[in-house]
Amino acid sequence: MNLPFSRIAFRPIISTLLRQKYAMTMLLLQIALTLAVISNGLFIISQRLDILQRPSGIDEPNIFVLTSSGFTENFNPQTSMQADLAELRQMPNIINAVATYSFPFSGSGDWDELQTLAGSDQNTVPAASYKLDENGIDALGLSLLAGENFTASEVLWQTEDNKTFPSVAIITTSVATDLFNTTDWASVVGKTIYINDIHSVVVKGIVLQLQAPWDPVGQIENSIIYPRVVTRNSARYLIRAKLSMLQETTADVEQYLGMSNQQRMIRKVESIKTIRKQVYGPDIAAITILLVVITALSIISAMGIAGMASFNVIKRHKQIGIRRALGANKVDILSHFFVENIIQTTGGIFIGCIFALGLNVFLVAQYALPKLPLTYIFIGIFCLYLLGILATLKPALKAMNISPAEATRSQ
Amino acid sequence: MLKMTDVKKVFRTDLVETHALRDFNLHVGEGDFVAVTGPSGSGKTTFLNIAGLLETFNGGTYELDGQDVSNLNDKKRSQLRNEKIGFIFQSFNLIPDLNLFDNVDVPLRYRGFNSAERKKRIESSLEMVGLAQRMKHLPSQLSGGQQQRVAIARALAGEPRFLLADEPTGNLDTQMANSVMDLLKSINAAGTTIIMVTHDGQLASQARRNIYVRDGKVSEVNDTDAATAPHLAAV
Repeated sequence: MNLPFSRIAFRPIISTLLRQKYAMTMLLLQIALTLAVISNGLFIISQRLDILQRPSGIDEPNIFVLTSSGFTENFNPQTSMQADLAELRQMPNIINAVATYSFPFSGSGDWDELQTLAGSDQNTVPAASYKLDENGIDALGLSLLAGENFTASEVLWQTEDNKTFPSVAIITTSVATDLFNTTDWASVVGKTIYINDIHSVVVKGIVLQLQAPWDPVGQIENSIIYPRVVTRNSARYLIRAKLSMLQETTADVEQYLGMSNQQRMIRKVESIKTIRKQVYGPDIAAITILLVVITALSIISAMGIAGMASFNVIKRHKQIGIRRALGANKVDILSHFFVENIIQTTGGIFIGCIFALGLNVFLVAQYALPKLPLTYIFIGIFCLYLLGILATLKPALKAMNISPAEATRSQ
Repeated sequence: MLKMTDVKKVFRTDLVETHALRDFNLHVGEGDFVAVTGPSGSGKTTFLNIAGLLETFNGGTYELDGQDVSNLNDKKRSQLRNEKIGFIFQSFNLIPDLNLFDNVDVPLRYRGFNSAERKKRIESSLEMVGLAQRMKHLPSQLSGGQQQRVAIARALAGEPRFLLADEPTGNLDTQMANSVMDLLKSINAAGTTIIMVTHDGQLASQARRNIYVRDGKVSEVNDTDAATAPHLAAV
């Protein structure tokens, strides 16, 4: 049995296509450009999605933050903070609360350089530094894998100019791996690490994950927690509500804190979910724009392919009738147009691969993007073949139904 | 070999119903050379289209080479058309983008011949019409007579039982028309059955048998060989 494509002559189809120089060149360039944009666009989208989907390590859905700003001369920040936190921790719908200026998505904080041996010639590991009291781990919803939490006596309540450094710290698994090249977390507990080659602390515990507040160095999983609370007139509280109680608790807390101390004002009450949405707004916008561009370009390419195929069907109306008269069945005619499309698309893809890799080299150089994996080119190629087949379908079906009697009709 | 009995063909639009063939009866035997003449609109081309399985019909029966073709599907009709019938058209109907070799190759590919077999047949048929040296030329590089010879080569390459010719010399000058006619006669002499639709009485007279079609019916038969070939008579 002969397969439909075995009855199609490829060489004459290529010769015929090559005679349509200008139209073919435009179409090939269009296909090539579409491939370049689809491949790179999908790659960028997948990277952005990875960023959007990565877990922060904290109990995002149930946490909200607010700022308490003291504005009178008699306002005592430490007394106020301790009173507020003690009261918040007593409230029925709150799991825990902590005072902190930094948290994942807050967009500001300090970074320290960590090393396992003292000395300026040692390799260092960057890590975002958090300052939390003994309730921090519970308030953030972190998962302590090894070692212990801080005790109340280890926590230093300090003003900003107090430079006393704590003797212990808790680090993330990512920091532990980078520093000690191990996944045996228990073995890291009790080891000494050096901070900015100035201070030393003993690792007291290891938490699974705690994202940095922002990521200037591409090490977002690296964090270290010190048992410190810095007291300022303006304090930020991070409060973890019980499951599904976020909205109700937020309103209760805002009302309570507003009434409890007239020397300060409560502002910037936001859930982590809202803050996350704001932080990732540009990524979501970039994904949306890229999807629109990819879709628009695909539609334009499909229209170009369909237009070319339709034009060929009209132009070759009589020829198709002749082929039918000479023995082509409907499937032969359908196959003929699909083969023609596959040849066109293959030509475009060949040029498109060069475009796609070229565009990626440009993006890598200009925007420090990673190298385009070949998988995305293959996805782009698959999309274009599918697009080509779908775009050719209607004109090809029209061609298929041309009567063989067209051969005997005058032009 | 070709037997049409009470064949009817009606073309319908929303407003008009045209009876192109009415109770059309014809029996053509093997090796015959039949010229079909008649005024414009008499149904000659419709007959040729139905005979060549290019169109379906509305009533009656049609047997081609002993096979009833009335209810065949498109695939079967295409296959039968490809295997048993060769076409020669008034305007040659070569595919302009293909060279002579590829033009003759078209029906052979649909036949499923392998590459070597196709090459052999293409070269031999182009040789027969005297154009073997020009097989890489495009149709536009040939005269009308030469193009019609290529069309004949294409029709014959598959060794069909029937050759259906629609005004084969209609676009040619007298000298070229005669040369094409001589070629058709020699093909017929070699055993291929030919049915030729023509307006040209002089050309028709060179066929072994003349059919005159009027108002969609065979109205007159002039059978030059009727005495020796009684099976050629109209039914």
